[in-house]
Amino acid sequence: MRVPLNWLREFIDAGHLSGPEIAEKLTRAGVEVEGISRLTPPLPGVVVAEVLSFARHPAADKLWVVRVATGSEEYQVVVGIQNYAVGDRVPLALPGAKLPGGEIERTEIRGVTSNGMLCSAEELGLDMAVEEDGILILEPDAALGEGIDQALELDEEILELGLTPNRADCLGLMGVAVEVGVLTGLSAHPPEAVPPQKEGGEAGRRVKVTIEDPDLCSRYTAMVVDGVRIAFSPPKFQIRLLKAGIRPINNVVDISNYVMWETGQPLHAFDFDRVEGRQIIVRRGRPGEKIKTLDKQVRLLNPDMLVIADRDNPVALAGIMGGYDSEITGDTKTVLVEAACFHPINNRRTARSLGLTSEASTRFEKGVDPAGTDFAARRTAYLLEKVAGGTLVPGRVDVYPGPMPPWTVSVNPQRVRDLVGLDLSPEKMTDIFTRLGFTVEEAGERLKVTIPSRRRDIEAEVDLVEEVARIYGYEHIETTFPVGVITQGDKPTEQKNLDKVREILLGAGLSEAITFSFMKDAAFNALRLPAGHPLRQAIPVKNPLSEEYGLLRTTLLGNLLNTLKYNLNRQQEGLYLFEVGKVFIPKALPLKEQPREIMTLGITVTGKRGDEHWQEPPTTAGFYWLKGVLEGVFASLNLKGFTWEPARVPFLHPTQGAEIRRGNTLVGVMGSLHPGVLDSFQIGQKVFCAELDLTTLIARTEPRGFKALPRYPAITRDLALIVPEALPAAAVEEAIRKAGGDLVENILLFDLYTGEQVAKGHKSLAYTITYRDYRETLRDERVNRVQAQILQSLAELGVSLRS
Amino acid sequence: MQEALRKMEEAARQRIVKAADSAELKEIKVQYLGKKGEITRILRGMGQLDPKERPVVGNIANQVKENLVQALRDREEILKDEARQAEYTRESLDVTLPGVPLRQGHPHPITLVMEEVKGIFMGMGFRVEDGPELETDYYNFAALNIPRDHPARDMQDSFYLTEDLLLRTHTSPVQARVMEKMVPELPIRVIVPGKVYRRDDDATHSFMFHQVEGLAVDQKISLSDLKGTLLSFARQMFGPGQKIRLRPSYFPFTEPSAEVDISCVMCKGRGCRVCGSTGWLEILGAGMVHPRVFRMSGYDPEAVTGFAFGMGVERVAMLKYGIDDLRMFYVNDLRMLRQFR
Repeated sequence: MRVPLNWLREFIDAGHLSGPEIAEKLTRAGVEVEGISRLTPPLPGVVVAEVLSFARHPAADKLWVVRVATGSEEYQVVVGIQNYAVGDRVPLALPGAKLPGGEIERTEIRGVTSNGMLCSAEELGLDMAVEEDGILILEPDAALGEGIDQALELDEEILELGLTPNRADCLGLMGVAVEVGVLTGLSAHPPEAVPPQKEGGEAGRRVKVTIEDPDLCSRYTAMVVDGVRIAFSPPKFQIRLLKAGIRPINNVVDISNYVMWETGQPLHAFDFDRVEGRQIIVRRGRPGEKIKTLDKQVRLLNPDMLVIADRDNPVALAGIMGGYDSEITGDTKTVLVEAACFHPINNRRTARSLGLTSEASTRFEKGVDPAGTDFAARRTAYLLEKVAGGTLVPGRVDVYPGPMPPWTVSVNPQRVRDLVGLDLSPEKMTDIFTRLGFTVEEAGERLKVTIPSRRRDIEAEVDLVEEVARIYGYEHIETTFPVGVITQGDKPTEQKNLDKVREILLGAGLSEAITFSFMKDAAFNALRLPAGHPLRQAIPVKNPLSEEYGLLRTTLLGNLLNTLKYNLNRQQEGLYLFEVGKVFIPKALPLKEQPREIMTLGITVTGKRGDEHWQEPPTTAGFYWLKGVLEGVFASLNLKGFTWEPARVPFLHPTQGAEIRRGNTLVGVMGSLHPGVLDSFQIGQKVFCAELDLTTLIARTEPRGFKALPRYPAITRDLALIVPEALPAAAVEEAIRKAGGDLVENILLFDLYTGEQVAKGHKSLAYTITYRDYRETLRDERVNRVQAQILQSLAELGVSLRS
Repeated sequence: MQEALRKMEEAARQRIVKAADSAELKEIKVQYLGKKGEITRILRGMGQLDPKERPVVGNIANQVKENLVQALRDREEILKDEARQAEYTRESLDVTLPGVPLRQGHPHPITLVMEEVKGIFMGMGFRVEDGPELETDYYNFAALNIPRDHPARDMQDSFYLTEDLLLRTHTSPVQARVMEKMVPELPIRVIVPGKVYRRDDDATHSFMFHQVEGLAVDQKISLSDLKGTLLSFARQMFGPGQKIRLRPSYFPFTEPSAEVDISCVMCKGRGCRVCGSTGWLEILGAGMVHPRVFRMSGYDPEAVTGFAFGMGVERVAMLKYGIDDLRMFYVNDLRMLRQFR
């Protein structure tokens, strides 16, 4: 809501308060002033001048030489148009003046000196309703020589209110004035209007109003004004609307908007001669019925929409937009003024379904005060008489099927103390309520407060508590700490475990990314997921921002690879990224219930890990490095029993991919990214990735026990083995462990060799095996015996000792 | 004889002092102190001496012997020391050469701030809670006193998955979930950090962002307790000199409601570009839990009161680190991430 300050001051004598002072008071009371602006940038050097004479340019038939005076000085200017008369007041931009289009200079046009420029509204930066291409003709009383900023009040401060939805009462300047009055002790007063009209009268004979659906229209007030002369509104009037943010059209439409801005009550003006049957019927739309609205769109109606109809057809979408066929035109003579009150929810639904929101509809959906229709109509009639030359047809038609009864809310002063921590006496509270225009009665311990209809947001005790607190001032609230029973700060186990995971990953050199929880369908192809792959079962967003974010993600890898690509494009070559976030896996599609939200770890690494160094160069990303990181993660969670099995995963290299299982549960996959995926993402270097379902891994805290330090020495033996190429290392280790039993404390692979020294189809694995007995000192003979057993069972696997 | 001993001692000393290495010292030792050394040779002539003089000469001879042993030892030390000094020179390092980089990764600034916020509130007795990101209309809106067709729904444009399911637009639904779970127990003190989504995308809005929700419910919790709690938070987060300001506002699920400002972290309240010359920065919305929300969650609003707040994590991170572009958070540019530890 834009509040031009001088306009506001017409409703409250707050001339001694500056814009910022008023803004501060309003903001402190919860009517936030987000900024103070003005309509146009200052226009220095543009002044009001009077046309003294004009004549054709001696050397150019399309130009005019005009003499103007600013009171003290006379100027000659060359003008390209002639829409003014001698004696008209016009804006004169003198040399040096700065207009939106540039700076004005003294020029000579075909031998005639031009000491400036006469300005159109457009040249002043004003989007006014005027004849095309004309010089702006100012009001005859504009003071000669006065700056245009002052003459048109372009320098007026405009308060920009950021209103919360509950404060519909401040959607009109009068409401804002009341609020300023409460905060300053000044009293607000309404603008001039025609006197109250008696019900019916001549107007009643001219028009009949019927409300067929009183649940959707609580009040309809109509007045008729005859003999209007349609024209553009006077410049100052138009400029006020521009300051409000409303585009001027013609005097009648402008007046209805002007009064809406003042009162908060939306108004509509019909060309009464085009209302068939002289009847206004407020009813629901009929199936198949259509209306052409002011924006020339034909809209299909239905019974959920409320319309204003004449005898034959709908003439307006109630509270949203008028009909094209009854709009005010240049020929309009008689105006029917509508000030009505429509149902907020119905209005909102209709506006939404048609994609048509207007200043009127936003007011109706927040709730308009039904008590205010009559005054708004009278104010409109007053301005139609004063500005548009009309004459009010005496009387009014006011259909108000169920007048809202006054309502009362009671408040216990103790409640203010409990809820807000302000210690105010009932007298002080009564004073605040009275200033707000509420009436207060004492009812035992409680205060019974009668609420005026303009404050329909006050419904319950707590609303009154808030009114007291905000008017008295939040700044007076004490600063205390909650007292009472001790509560223990804590984090869920999952989060504590996630902290550990993050710590390990950061320590390993991986940086954390946070990407959007969305993905696009095309990413599935880029990841080579075949049709029907479970990861393709993604939940589509009904109203996505764009196709890019059309689905809820089922994998983190697509987004991480995009992040990798982004950074590669910026000369970052060693990229070690992880993300911990949720993926969304539906139980079924189309979605019926909340999906599983799976906390997932995604990792993508490529290139060198960290900065170069003259002594210790960084390592390069590889499968076993990444595997080591994951092993570190599992170790940090104190989890054991993981197996790594070669697996064909669509987005992984066919022979460099693994599934990670714990028991029978698939925990995740890791490996080298499939070259085809690299191509899709246009990444020209090897990438290793992993994706893990963390759900079961972080669910519990595995207790960590301490094992007493050994009291007897260990014996270590190195064992170089020739192993068939296809036999996985895990099988060798398992055989060693099985045959060695409890005596084998540790098995460490320290070398892997394939090549000339080893028979074809074989590899050499070299282990250091640590043997230890916790109960006694080990003897060589015993180790020899055990090692012989180990070699024997390895032989069964085709493994022999390397000679 | 005495004289001969003294002379010999002097000669030996001369050579010891000049010895260049331990080999030479050994040679000298053998020459003078060995079994066939000079002292032995001289002492062989003792027989010719007057028996009275013998002990005197014997004493002197022992003294000379001891002196030379000591001299040899001293020289040995000196030589060792010299050798070490040479070694030190050879081993000297350029201490200005760069150290081996730790090559650790970098946390995301949002995580850093979230963890800091969690830590501060855990210290004030708040328990961290979690909730689904994909919510039902009921928990996201209705349970928070935002029925269908309420104009307040415009404040939060949502991403819908079905008629009834949407991405949560705030962390507040967890308020209702926690209260339903806890009722009738008291007190409640929880915070809920997490991702939220609004269908809004411009320079100052991201369609995904992070919030931390707070909720405290007990028999007598008041707005002044909220003020104290948040003041303590602001001081821990932004520094001990922080001030706090509450301004009346409106949220459907709290009443009275407040916008909470902290004194500008850039200009310390003097007024600057960041705070629009006001000296204040809005960092969160808060208020007293609305009686209707209590009722829907099963608590009696006549018997309990509570405060709730919700803060934007990105906003806090921007202020704390001086980041001026919201979009930076989701680009994950390594050049940005590297700046955080």
